[in-house]
Amino acid sequence: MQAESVQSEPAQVAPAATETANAEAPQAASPRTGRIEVPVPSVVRARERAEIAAGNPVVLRAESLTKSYGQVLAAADVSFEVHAGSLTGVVGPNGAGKTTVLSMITGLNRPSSGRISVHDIDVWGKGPAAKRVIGSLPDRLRLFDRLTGGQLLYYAGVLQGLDQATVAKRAAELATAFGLESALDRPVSDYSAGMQKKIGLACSMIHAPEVLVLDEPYETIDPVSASNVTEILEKYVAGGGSVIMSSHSLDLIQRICDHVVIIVDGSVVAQGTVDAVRDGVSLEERFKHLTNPDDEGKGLEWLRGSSDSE
Amino acid sequence: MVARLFRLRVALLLSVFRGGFREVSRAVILALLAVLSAALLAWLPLWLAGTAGDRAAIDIILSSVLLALVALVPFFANLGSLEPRQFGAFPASPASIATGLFLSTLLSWPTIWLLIWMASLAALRPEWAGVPLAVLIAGVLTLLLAIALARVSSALVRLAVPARAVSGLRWVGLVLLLTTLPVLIFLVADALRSPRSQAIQDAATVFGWTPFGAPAAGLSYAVHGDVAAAAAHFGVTAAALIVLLLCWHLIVARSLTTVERPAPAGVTRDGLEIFERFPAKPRAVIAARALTYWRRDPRYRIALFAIPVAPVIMMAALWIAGMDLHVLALLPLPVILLLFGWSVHNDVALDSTAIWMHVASGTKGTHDRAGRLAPVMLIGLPLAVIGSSITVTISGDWRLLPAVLGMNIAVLLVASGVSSVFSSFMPYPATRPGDSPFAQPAVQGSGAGLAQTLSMLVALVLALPPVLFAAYAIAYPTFELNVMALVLGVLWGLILLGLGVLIGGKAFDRGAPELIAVTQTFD
Repeated sequence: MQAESVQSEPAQVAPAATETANAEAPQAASPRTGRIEVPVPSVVRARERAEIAAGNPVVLRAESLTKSYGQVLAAADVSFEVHAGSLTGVVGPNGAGKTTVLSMITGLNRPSSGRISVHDIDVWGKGPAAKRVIGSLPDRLRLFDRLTGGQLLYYAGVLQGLDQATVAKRAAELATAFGLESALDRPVSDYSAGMQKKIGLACSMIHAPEVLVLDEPYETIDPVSASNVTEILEKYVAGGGSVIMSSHSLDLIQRICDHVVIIVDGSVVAQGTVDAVRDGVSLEERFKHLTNPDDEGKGLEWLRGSSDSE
Repeated sequence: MVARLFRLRVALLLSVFRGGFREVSRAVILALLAVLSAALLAWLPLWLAGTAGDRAAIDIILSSVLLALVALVPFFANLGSLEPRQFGAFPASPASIATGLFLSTLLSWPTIWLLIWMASLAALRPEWAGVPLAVLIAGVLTLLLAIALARVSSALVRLAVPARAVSGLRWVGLVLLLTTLPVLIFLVADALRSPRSQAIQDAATVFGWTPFGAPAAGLSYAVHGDVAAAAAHFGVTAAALIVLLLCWHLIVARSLTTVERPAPAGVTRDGLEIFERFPAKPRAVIAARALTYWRRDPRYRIALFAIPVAPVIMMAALWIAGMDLHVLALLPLPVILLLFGWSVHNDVALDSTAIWMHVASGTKGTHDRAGRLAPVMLIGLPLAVIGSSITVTISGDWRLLPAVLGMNIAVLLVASGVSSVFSSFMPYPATRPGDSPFAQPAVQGSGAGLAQTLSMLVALVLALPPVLFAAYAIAYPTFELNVMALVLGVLWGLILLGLGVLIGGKAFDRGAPELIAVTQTFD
């Protein structure tokens, strides 16, 4: 649009005149052109996406997932749904059972009871078929880190049943997308924590899954890479994929996710679109209220900088 | 076509003498050496054998080996310069190309070498002078068979093996050569030591009925006046020749009408190291990964250092106890192979939690099991074969070779199969990835001793039947018993290995999430 407005001016304008033309032409043509274009922030896209996704079919359905370790209930009757094209965040305090729930979805942790299905394929009944449509990034599990980044990507792709031409093409594109091209020949064990997270993310995507289950994908990733990852995830979701990810950062979840599931002590205490869950206040305030409604600021009276009391 | 191909052959023959003084002199020296070696090979049996009968037997064995090499060498290292596909663009029928290529092979350096060898044989065997017709038939059959074998095997490899796999094939050939060389050298050494051994006669009889040894065997019968036996032996080779010629024509026709499947566009497997040598299938990449880990991760190497120690101590103890050295020589290799196969009984624990990748991708348990055994098999099998020939050399009776080989292969395969089951059934804490290989596992106790003892016991018990049978065959070394021990050992080993992979794979399929949970507690 800017180019058009310039061309509408006489061709022999001096460069200095062009600038003024640029500044003035918008008023004549349209009020939007000419200003520095502010990219639509993630949060706006997320709000828009929430409405669209709510109307999409459900791709992932967890039905009363329960996991008990002896007397301890790590997950109690967890049920939620993820719609196609949505970016769903799972949040909860430390030890709430987020990892347990996510690894039950990816087939890495057998639930004590309950059912989890992806595209109506039972993950625990028809494992291999379901696992073809799930991409997973577990937290705190090792990678085969003696392999180089390139070998690891190739390994992940072939294990998912891709042919070698596809693997080669996708591995190269994923490496570029995550900024890992120069590191592909180095062993993964030499990578920094953030790079390991990124190669793990790339491995989880190589078979073009329909659902990505990511446990703490943003942990240890630097801010620039994080926005890069957000971009990739949003593109993936815009293409019809679904993401379910956990994070400690409520700010991040509020910014990029359209749906959210809040888990406290192994149970779902709230779920729905981010706007519905936060109910007018910030997600953090809402979360605080949900996790410990009454005992705010209690205890620790002795913990203060000056020791002049008594 | 035929005449043209002959002209091409002559040009190729003479091309080695082209170039500067250095090249020409080198070619001449090589040619002289080749002539000398052919004549020496023809003279060798005279020196080795005491009696005419032994000499004939050695002749049969030697010519069989030579013809087998003629078939095998082009298969693994294809050096041919004229191949059917090069003539695909010319207006000639497949039949005329096939005939032309076949006949013109007469004018190649290997064929000329073969002719020199046969001429030297004829000159050095006075007894052949009485049966000129049989000599002529045997000579022509040998020559034609050699050409047919070389042509068929080199054309077959060009047709069936893609160009990018040729280097891999050469490696396989090298490994095979290295594994058979000790056996061959030992056989020759043994023949040197005791030329009147009955075994050489037995072997010659067996070799004589293969197409490779049949011309020489037929000639030997002709010398003794047994025309019927001679004709039967010549018939074997003639039949083989007809089959090979048919194959040759079919292969040429097929080569001329097909092209090699081009490599898929955009495939670059550069920088994948070992992975480049394996196909893009789950089982194969797991094998490549295991091999990469054995190479890069010191934990695997350290575990192997202890293996030779046990048999050395055992040998010392038994030697002091006064055991016969010939029997003692048989012991170390099976013990080493047992420990080697057993060494991967906790393989999953060494991967630690990284095993999630196999689980999350829905990898089949049997693929996981089979792939992991690649390093053990790739090192263990050549070790078993080379080691068996060395064992037999030390113990001093080469008739034991089949039984010893069968026993060792059985022990290796059984131990690997048992390991396959135990590594998915009973993992116990191992040194974590990245820790010093000498470091103790982070978690102690939890079943390490039980898993080790149990897996070793099971491997020992299951390896017992073929070992006992082999021991019997070693005690009563007849040819039949030895071959039976070999067959039984290999079959028994294969069956138990297959069962181990199946059962271990099932256990992996069923208990994969629990396996992750267990490795998490170790980590």
